[in-house]
Amino acid sequence: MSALLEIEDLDVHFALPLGLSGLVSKRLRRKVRAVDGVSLVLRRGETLGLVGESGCGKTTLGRAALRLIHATGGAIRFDGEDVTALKGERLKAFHRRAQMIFQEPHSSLNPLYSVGRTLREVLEVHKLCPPAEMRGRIAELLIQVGLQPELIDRRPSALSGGQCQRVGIARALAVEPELIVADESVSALDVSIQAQVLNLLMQLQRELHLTMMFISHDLSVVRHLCQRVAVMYLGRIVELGPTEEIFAAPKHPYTVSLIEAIPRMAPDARVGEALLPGEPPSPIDVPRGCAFHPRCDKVMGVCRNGTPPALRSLDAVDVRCHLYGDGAVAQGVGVASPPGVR
Amino acid sequence: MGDILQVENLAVEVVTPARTLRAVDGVTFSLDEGEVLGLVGESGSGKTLTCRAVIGLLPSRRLRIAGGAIRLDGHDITRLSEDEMRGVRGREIGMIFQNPTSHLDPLMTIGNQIAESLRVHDGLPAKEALEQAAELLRQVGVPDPRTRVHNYPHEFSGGMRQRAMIAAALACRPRILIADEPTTALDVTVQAQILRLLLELRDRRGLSIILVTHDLGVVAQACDAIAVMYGGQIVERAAKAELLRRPLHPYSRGLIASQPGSAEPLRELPTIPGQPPAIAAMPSGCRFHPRCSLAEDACRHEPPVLAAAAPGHETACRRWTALVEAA
Repeated sequence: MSALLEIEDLDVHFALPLGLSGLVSKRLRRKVRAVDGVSLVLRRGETLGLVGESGCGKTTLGRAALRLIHATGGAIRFDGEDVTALKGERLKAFHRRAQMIFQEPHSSLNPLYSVGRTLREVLEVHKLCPPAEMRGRIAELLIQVGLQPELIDRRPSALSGGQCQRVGIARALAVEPELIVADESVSALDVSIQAQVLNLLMQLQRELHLTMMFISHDLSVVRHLCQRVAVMYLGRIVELGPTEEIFAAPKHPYTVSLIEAIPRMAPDARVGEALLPGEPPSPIDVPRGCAFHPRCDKVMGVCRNGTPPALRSLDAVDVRCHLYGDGAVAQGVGVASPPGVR
Repeated sequence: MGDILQVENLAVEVVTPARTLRAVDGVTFSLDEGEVLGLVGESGSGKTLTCRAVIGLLPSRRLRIAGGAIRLDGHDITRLSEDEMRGVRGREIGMIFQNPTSHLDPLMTIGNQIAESLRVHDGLPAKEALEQAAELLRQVGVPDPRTRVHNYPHEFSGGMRQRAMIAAALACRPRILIADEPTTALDVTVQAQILRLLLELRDRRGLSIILVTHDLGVVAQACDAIAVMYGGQIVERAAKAELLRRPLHPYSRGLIASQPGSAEPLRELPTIPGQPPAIAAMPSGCRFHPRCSLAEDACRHEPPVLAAAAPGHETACRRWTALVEAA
């Protein structure tokens, strides 16, 4: 499979408001490294899941990949073309091929716009539909996402959460994109509606050969929907590989605890024994060495004060952890682990 | 062990100038001492209003208890005055919410918020109350509690705020804790920590817990019994393992089947067609009938009754035998 989207060494750093120390010295100005040296390839036609706790940078990465926010470093290539610095008409052309579905179904739609106007706007901006055919095309889009065309004149306030989310999907599909970034697109929905929308996404992906980045904190949804999974922790990808393998044999201690924490629905389920302690630290104060070390039960000396581990390939899975820092070929970003460490 | 709380035929109404609507209709359940009861349902199913009615905190003047009884140790608390009810809240029943941020005062230290109820309910002097508050924070797993009592809510992380709210709810040693979606806003890893804390408190203090959630995974892990709500009514009730293994209502069965975790990856998920009904447009007869593949004429016209289908297992589906055969 060929690559559709290539993200290379991408940084999204935000400067914090200047504090007193920041005025004194440039070195003390603090930055949030929301995304820090991420390299990732989306292959044509696949669904890649991006998981991690809140604040790990998954949403920022998704938005930066679509150029909705500005990356401070690295490169994004779409279908071979560098889109990192596109502007104006050429950026618009990129957005004709790559779209986003947002998290909050209600707040991501303009409350004053009818469903029809929301969809018409996209078609007009991208000049995709002659005015005479507009109503027909909008009806077609609504049918495509399983909504009745009669909803065309409704406003979001007259729709349920599931219906709003379908309108959000229709809006993304209006340009007939090749790539879709779906950010927590089913998280706010009720259980019975969530399954309906997941089925719709899977069906659309099959029929339209979409490539999808599916951002979610819900690992069971990701497991159901995605062929590959990338696990993020504090702005970096710590594990990446085929879904089956990651769920069957997670390698990074963080992935292990994430998977253990999924509430299982078995009749004899219990709250997991090996719980991950603490909460994700703030991306303002990323711990030295391996960012995960304060919460890791397999922590070693090198994790505390060494360099951050590099992303290494072990069979089909890439993992960023000193536990696997022995003899494997370093890949992508980062430096090799210090000598003499096993 | 006996029932500490019995809710009988509870009805909650929304009064609007135009008409009166029933948001909770004929809800009956009981809570055993030391039991964790999961109240499961989608938005609008009435699970939160049921709990709010139990603790006497209906969130709007337009809402009122329109019928039924809520018995605490056999005494109906729906008849208590607001003053008497204030004594019940905190001392007998505590409550925690989905979003700790909006239920903690941002301008008051965590310690003072916990100490407040100790001063009001137990009449403790300020200094002792603050010491107690630190002890409570320690019990709910907040590190360095003696320093943290002086922090404000914004200085706490999401998980720690939820712990602080649990500490505040437990300050006056209530016997019942109502937890309304306590982990929904939290990451899975922190969710597991909070669930474990609730279960520890149950074991240590003999606390009885009503856990309101839409997440069947949470219920499977933490609850002893489950009551499934739909359209303002309880449609099925059983011990946890029994209900998850052998759901006897098409709605519960549909909910369980539609979980992504229980299906083969990348396959189509079984779904319940349609969407939950709005309060203003409740279907006649069985409220689930428009979404049910087993519905027959009687389902459309006659309201169902929650009745035992097996020992300890009640369902409101009159066609539950057909459901078992269809499986």
